[in-house]
Amino acid sequence: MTINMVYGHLEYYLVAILLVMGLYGMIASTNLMRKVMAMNIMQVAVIVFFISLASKQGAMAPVLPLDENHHVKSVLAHEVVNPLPHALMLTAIVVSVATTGLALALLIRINRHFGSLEESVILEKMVKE
Amino acid sequence: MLRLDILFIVLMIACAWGILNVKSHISAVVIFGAFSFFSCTFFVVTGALDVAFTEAAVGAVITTVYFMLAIYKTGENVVPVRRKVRGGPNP
Amino acid sequence: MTERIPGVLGEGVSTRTRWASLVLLGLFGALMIAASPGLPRVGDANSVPANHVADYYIEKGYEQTGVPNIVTAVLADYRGYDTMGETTVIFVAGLSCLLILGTQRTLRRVEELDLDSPFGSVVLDLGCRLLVPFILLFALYVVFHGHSSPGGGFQGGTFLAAAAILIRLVRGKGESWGFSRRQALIVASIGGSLYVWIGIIPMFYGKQFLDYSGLPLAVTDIPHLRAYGTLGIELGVALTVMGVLIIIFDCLLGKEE
Repeated sequence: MTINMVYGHLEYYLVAILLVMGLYGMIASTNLMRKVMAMNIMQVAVIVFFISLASKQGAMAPVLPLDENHHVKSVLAHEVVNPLPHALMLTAIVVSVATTGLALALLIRINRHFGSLEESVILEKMVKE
Repeated sequence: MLRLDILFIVLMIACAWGILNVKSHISAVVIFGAFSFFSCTFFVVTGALDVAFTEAAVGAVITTVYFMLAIYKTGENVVPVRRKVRGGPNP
Repeated sequence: MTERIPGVLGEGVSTRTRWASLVLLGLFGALMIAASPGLPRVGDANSVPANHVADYYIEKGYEQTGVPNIVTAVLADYRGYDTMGETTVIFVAGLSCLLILGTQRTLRRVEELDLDSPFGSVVLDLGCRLLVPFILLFALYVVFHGHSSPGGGFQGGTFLAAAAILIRLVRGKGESWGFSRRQALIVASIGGSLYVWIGIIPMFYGKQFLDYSGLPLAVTDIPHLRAYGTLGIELGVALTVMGVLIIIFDCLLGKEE
């Protein structure tokens, strides 16, 4: 692993650190609300990974510009950022907000039934029932 | 050569550390909003404009409001009041 | 002291569990870092994921679909089937929130403020009245201009829902200004069915499902026709996203109808 390769892949290492932090938060947090926030951290980390996979150095955003006659210019493929992961990640962001809303609805129901959101209290009450 | 994208991922890691380790839930939600904005800026720097727009609209507006509402409804923002001990000195 | 529950990872999180999970996650992170030489360098233009399919979308995207924003062209035209599945996912999430939280009366376990009265002073009220029309106008601009600038259906739908949420936050739980939960459900259903019907209509004219060149509009140019199909799709997605986000907000708020 030379320094050149580490410098070229640095974003992937940092995204791996973010993913592991989110996963550890889901395992080791005792409060259910923190678990949902850690799940969101993991989702954003995956999206960052895909977008950094799609980037090209010195390229422009995937919106075709207009030239002086207001016609759309045609561009070469290596000067435009790869647009395919962007479309997939738009779907991923919308699914993540739907999952977060549903998880929070479940949390409110759990709190109404058990009285608190701490994991130890909920497990105690579940054993008693 | 200034690598802005690495800078923003490092800031996101610091925000994630903050989310998992603060005591109050409302502070965690505010730091979560900052985390969302840093990820949106990373997407702009990398050239993904549609994804940045969606992340700004969804992460900073919708998800923060949902979390605040859930905190309010489950009563996590209320600190339990200590009862005074009878016959003892007042604190 | 809590009892040991079979099948669950211990009572609370003991120190042993914490260290075990840290070791396992460290191994997982090391595995991800060790597998990264197989990935292309960040910013490489000659890598395998950046060739073959993405080149075709970039170079032939405008002349086939008539949409200058390549991400919208990929999302609504080339990969329109996936976007239909995603619209279904968010609609199902809204329905599940209605099932979980929408059918019970709110119980008052915590001493709360009365959420029916307006919260703020004159400043908040006036600001809300000034902002909401501009938010709605900007949201419609984002939806319709998603062709040639960053934008599209999801972003516009989110801003439409944000306007409704602003009204509820400032004016109280009871005010909805025409965006009540029942109407949001109707709007979400209209958006979803608009998407599917734009897909089914070409089948009556002999084309495939979601092939926009079979739409019966008075335009002869095929890229033009596909651009109109993309516009209809984006409108359907915006309506669905707006309806579902308002439904989830109302369910979390505990508003009865």
